[in-house]
Order: sequence, then C-alpha cells, then structure tokens
Amino acid sequence: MRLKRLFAFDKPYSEFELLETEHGEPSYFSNMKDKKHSSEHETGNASTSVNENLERLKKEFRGDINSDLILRSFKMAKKLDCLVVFINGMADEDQINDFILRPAMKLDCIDTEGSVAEYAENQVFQMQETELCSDWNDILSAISEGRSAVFLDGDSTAVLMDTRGYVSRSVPDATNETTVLGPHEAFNENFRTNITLLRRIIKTTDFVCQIRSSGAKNRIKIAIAYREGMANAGLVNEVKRRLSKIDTDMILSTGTIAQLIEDHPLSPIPQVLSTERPDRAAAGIMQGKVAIICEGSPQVCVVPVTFGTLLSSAEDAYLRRPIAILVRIVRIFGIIITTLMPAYFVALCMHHQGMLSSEVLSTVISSRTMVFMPLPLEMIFLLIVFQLVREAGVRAPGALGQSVGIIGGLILGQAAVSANIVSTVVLIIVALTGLGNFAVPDYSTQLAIAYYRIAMCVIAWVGGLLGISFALLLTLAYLSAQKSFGVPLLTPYAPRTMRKRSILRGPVGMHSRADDYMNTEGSL
Amino acid sequence: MNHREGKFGTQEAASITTIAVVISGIFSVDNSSTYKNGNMLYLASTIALVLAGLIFLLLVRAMNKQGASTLVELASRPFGVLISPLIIVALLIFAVFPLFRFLQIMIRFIFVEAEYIDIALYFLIAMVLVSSLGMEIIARSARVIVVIFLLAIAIALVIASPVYSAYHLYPLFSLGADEFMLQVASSTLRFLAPLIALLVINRGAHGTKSTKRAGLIALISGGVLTILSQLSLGLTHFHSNLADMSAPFYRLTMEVRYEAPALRTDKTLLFIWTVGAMLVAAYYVYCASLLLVRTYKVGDVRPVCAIFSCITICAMLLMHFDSAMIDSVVSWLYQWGWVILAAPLVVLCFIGNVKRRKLA
Repeated sequence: MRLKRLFAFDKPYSEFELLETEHGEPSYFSNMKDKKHSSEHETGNASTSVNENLERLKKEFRGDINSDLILRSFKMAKKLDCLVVFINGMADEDQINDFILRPAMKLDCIDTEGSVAEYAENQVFQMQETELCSDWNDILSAISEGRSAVFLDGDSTAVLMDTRGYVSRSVPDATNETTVLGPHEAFNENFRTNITLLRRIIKTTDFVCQIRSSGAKNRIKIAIAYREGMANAGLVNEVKRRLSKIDTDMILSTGTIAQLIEDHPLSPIPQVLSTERPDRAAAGIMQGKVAIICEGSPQVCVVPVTFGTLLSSAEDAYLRRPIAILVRIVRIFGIIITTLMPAYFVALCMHHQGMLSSEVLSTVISSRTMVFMPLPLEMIFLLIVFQLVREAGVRAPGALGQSVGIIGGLILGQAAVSANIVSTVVLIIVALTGLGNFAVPDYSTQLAIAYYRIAMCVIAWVGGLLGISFALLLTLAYLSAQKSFGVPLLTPYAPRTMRKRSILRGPVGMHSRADDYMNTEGSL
Repeated sequence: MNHREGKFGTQEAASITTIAVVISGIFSVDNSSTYKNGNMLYLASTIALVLAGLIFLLLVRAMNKQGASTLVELASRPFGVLISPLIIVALLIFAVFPLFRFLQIMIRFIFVEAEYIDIALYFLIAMVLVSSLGMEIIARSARVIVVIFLLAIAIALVIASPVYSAYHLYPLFSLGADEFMLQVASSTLRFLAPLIALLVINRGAHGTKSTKRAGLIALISGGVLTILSQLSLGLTHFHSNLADMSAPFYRLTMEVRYEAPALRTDKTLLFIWTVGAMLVAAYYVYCASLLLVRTYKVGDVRPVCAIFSCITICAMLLMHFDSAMIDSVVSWLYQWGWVILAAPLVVLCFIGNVKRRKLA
C-alpha cells in the first residue's frame, strides 16, 4: 500500500493536520452508540418469552459446551417467570444472590400494569447501576463484560445490572517508569480502576471519559479521556475516527491500538506515548492531549506526542529546576553516546585514524593484537550480544533475570576478552553505550535506538564520517517528516513554536502551561 | 498536484536561507581567478550584501504590487515560461558549485584512495531522498542544524585567530575597477541565489511578508558571517597562496598546530559543513523542481527532484574531468555565470515594478 502510494504520481499525500478549532462534530459521530457490526450474532431485539431467550442464549454462548454461562430461572413474586444470565467468575455471585434473586423471590405481588421491566428496575432489584435494554447485541456485550441480564416473561426489555466482580490486580507500583520523587502508582488491567486513577488526579468538571467498544467481534472497551473545552475538537474527532476504523478482533492492549491508529505504523519511532503512570497521563490530559484507555491493558496511550516528550521522564516535573536541567543534560549526553559513539569509534578507527591521538591509537592497537575479527564486526557482534543479554534478562523468570545480567555482563565479557574474541576498548564502548541506552525513558524509543546504532555501525564501516553525517541528515529529515496526530514530531524545535523552553526545563508555572502547538480551545 | 511544498514558518525559512547564503558565499568561489591579482573579495562581498538586499526588496515589492504569490506570476505567462528555465539553470549551478568543492576536499584530504564516483554516490542518494521529501522537511531540518552549522563556521574562525596578520591583506586595493565590479556582481548573485530560491517557495513560507523578513534575517546574519570568513582567509594567507589553494577555508584550522586533540577539529567541522552543503543543494534542487512543475504544469515534483539531482551530480563529476573544454566552461561559469541569473532578475524587477497591475 505504501509502495503503491510512493509511485502514485500526481496525487498529494493527504494526512491529518492539527489545525485550528473545528466546529461541530463530523457526521460519522452523529450518535454515541457504537457502530453496529455485522457478525455471527443474531440482531434485533430480545423476545418477550423467557424460554425463547433462554434457547437463544444457549445457542449464542455455546451453552452445551460452555460451562461458564449461568442461566438461572426463577419466579418473581411466585408467579412471573424470570431468567438471570451471567458468566461465572466475571460476575459477583453475592450481589446476584443478595440484590437480585432474594428481593425478587421474596416479593409478594407485582404490578403488571405497564412495563414489568421498569417496575422490576424501580421497585425490586436493589442495584446501584441498572439499565433497560432490548437490543440483543447490547445484552450479549453486557453479559460478556461481567454484568447480569434479567429477562422477564412478557417483556422484551431486559434489565442489565452492574455485578462485575472479577478478580484483578490491585494498584501496583510503576516498574518500567520508576521515579524517586512523585507518585509510585501505576495502571493495572482493570478498566474502571484506571479511569478512577485518572479521576483522582484530574478533578475538573470538564474531564470526560467516553467509553466505546472497538474491534470487530471481540468488542473490547476503550475509553477516550480528555478535557472537553480544552482539547482541540479536531484532535478528539480524529482520535475517534481512527478508533472507529479498527476492524480486528485482536485488540489485546494499547500497544495494538497504537499500531492501528498511528500516522506511520511502520516507523520505528512511536507516535503515541505509552505510559503506565497515571500522573504522566493526567499531565498530558491537563495540557489538552487525549488519552486512550483499553480494557485489560496496564498502559495508557496519550496523543499527540513529540520527540521531546519521548525523551523526557515523569520525574523531570518533580525535581527542582536546576537539578532537572542538569539531569536533562546528562540524559541528552547519554542519548548522544548511545546513538553515535559506537559508529563514531568505528569510523575513526577504519577511515580517519589521524583524528585519534597517538595514545588512543596505541591503546586500541595493543588491545586488538590477537583479536581475529575486524573492528566493525567486533562492535556489531558485541552490540547484538548486549541486546541478547538484555532480552534474556527481561524474559528470564524471576530471580534468574538478575543472574542472566550478571553472567552476560561480567563473565561473558571477561571471558570474551580473555579468549581474544573481542578487545577491552570495544567492550568498554559497548558497556557505556548500553548505559546510555537506559537513559532514554520511553521503552519503544530505547529499542528503536538500540537497533539504529547497529545500522549506524554498518554505515560507518562503509562510509566513515561521511556515511555517518549523511545518515544523520537522512535521519533528521525522516524525523522531520513524522507526525503524531497532525503534530510534527520535532515540535517545538522544528517547527518552532511559542514555547520558550525546549530542551531545558522551564519554571513550574510555565511548565504546566498548555503548549501552543496543541491548538487548545481553552487555557490552563 | 503533489508539490510537497507544505507550510513552514519564518524561522525555518530564515534557517535554510542563512545556511545557503554562507555555503554559497564561502564555498562557491573560484579561488584561482578571484585571488589572482589581489584579495578584495571581502570588500566586494560587503557591497554585494547591500546590493543583494536592495534587489531582493525590489523583487518583493514587485510581487506585492502585482499580487503575485510566486516568481513566475510576477511576469506574465509568456515571460514566465521564458525566464523560468534561466532561473532553474542558475539554481542548479549554485547547487553544483559547493558540492564540487566538498567533493574535491573529500578526495584530496579525507578519502585519498577513493574514486570521485564513490563519494558522489553518497551525495546523490542523500540529495534525491532529501529533495523528494519536500520543502517542509528541508526547512525543518535546517532549523534543527542551523545553530550547529553557524557555530561550526564561527569555531573555525576563532581557532585560526592566532595566525591572523593584517599584512596578509596587502596590497589592499590591488584590483582594477573592472575586475572589482565583476567580483561585486558575482558576489551579489551568490548572495541573491538563496533569496531567489526563497521567493520560489514563497507560498509555503506564508507569503511575501514572512519571506521578506526571513530573507533579510538570512542575508544579514549569513552575509556578515560570510564576509568575516572571507576576511579571516585574507588575514591568514597572501592572495597568491589563496589562488593556488583548492580548499583554503577547510585548511584554516590546520594553520595552528594545537597539541590538544579536542582542538583538532578540522574533520569534524568539515562534516558539519558538508551536511549543511547537502541540505542547501537539496534546497536548490527542490526549488528548481518546483519552479519547473509550476511553470509547465507537471503533476508531481518528486520525479523532477530525482532527475535534477542526477543532473547536479553528473555536472559535479564532469567538473573533475581533465578536459580543456570542460575547464573553460567551468571557468566561464565561475566568472560570468552570474549573468544567467542576472538577466531574468533585471527583467522581473523591471516588469514587476513598472507594469501596471491588472485589475481582476
């Protein structure tokens, strides 16, 4: 598709631009209800007959083999046939027993004038969140997500009640984005908990969470969180438009969603910020960004994102300004080291030996006396081994992970030097490079830089400093061309915006101001 | 129409134009003819800076008066069709000259064993890709590197400062009036070429008001740095030595033998300048391509960028051939090539300022 577009001459490449405020909502969002998907499920309304609904439900949920589905028939007020449906393990059985079955069975009489479902909702069931629904697909979705549906004979309307009580993790500590100062909470897999964590930070009345389902048959819940009246309406609509176009069942986390809604899904650089920290997501929402929360995912996507955001950490806002500036400088230094040092060393040793001082040159030569591999190959080999050790440390279970790091780092490295497979100078450079890699706060960007530097080593091997400089130019041009929901990735450096501080952190008061490139409708 | 012009701000426009002014002013000079009889280039450049500014302002005034958003619209359609090829050729020539200089430096000082074609291929790939991405990307990239680039030029001047001596400039007024005027004319057009390119992409820069501001900022900042660089060359070497050198500015930092490795910056600075030169060449190639697609109603600018990139690199390689005919053509272009750009500019200035604007 992209290749086709490359050769489609005379057709401009149209893409979303985050322009000034748009008025009104596009017609594809004319109502808040989810788009009806054509699927295997029968459409239409529920039946007025409880027995018919029972048979339909058995067929839909494969009742003959699916033992999780509980279909409990009972009589309300000893005369009206009813059916409560829920999934074992998803619904809280105590709530169903105490607030649905017991009050219904103990009832002496019922008022059959008017809607029975309305009567039951108002007078019988003692649940805090109820909903009347007759649409069959909506009833099935409610049951699938842990709610209970009660069917009443003679009424096609079912009473849906929130009886969700599945087991989930409690609010954990942030493990991937750790900070010393600031909150330590992180999102977990529970959808409601994640929204609650955001609401605990953002207490403004304009904070909205629009919940919708996405995906083809596996209608997973997604929440779009933003500040109504602050976030650019065009941006919000664009996020909704892209989410509504998702047509796959395999939405397992925000990582999948990010790849489906990004401007450039093939780019190694992410165009959404994936964070596990509620404070970081809330900070973005306060500034007019949009957060996407996915059911079952402990990360939240925040859009749009800039390259500076990917390179900044949550702790930057909590440190004192001079210290935060120094930390940022060290981080930038680390990023330069991790990206360029291996390639620069290869270029100098292979093509530009005159640039090295005689002491450095003699050190390099003496350390490589018995090493059989050419220096560039040695560098690439060690970089790949480093990635291998990192992957093994992440995937190895529990305590083994630490051991793998120690074995790979210390023992393998020392053994490789003793065996004349690699030289000490190259080992030190790769070790420094690895340290600099972890200075990048965003995990996806870390991985992108890790493999980018291997490519740079190859380019340095072939072209020396000329190859490196042209590769950097092409990389800069590539990053300049990237956009995240209409915002160029290199904002506010290029294009330059009104923001006074770019690389170094500004005062807290200025720091919390909404960035002008967001084209927000309101102001902080 | 896929012209890939995009939209960019004043800072981006000023950045790419500043880098182009410096590159054109320092690396597009033919040393053998310029310094043969004396060194008055820095004086000629000073006058040229003022003249270039005036001509630029005249052109902007003409565009405002005629309500033209592009240079082609400034003249009427028949004139525009005739003038555009001259401007296109001039822009491509200004893309070739600095690249030729850097290719020479690479072969003579860095990759001594390499062939011209090997190095030229690197230039070709970078130029095709960068120019095809469009003006928005070129301008944003320039915005990111402009400070580093200008610092790289300034550092070279500072590092060489211990060897500056005023007597290297003598004799001060050694050129005849005709030769001096020729240098003024060629320097004026060297400063003007980036500004003409800026006027070609006027629409992307949000109109003549932003273009004028960006152009003047670039001319003043880039022009002053260029003049200082030319002056520093004059303070470092006699004109007879400069005439024999192929890359005197690159060798500026080598004149001082520093012990500290950190001050052996010649190669590092060279590659920063090379990146700037490549970006400027892509800028000129893109502007030439845009002018062609607009004048002759071609749908997509990308194939034209690729073709012009290939032409530029081929021309650059041709300049290295040991051929008397090519040498004489190149020599003529250096001395009199400014006429190619001067003629259409004079016509445009005249037509634009004198012609009565057609009412809609």
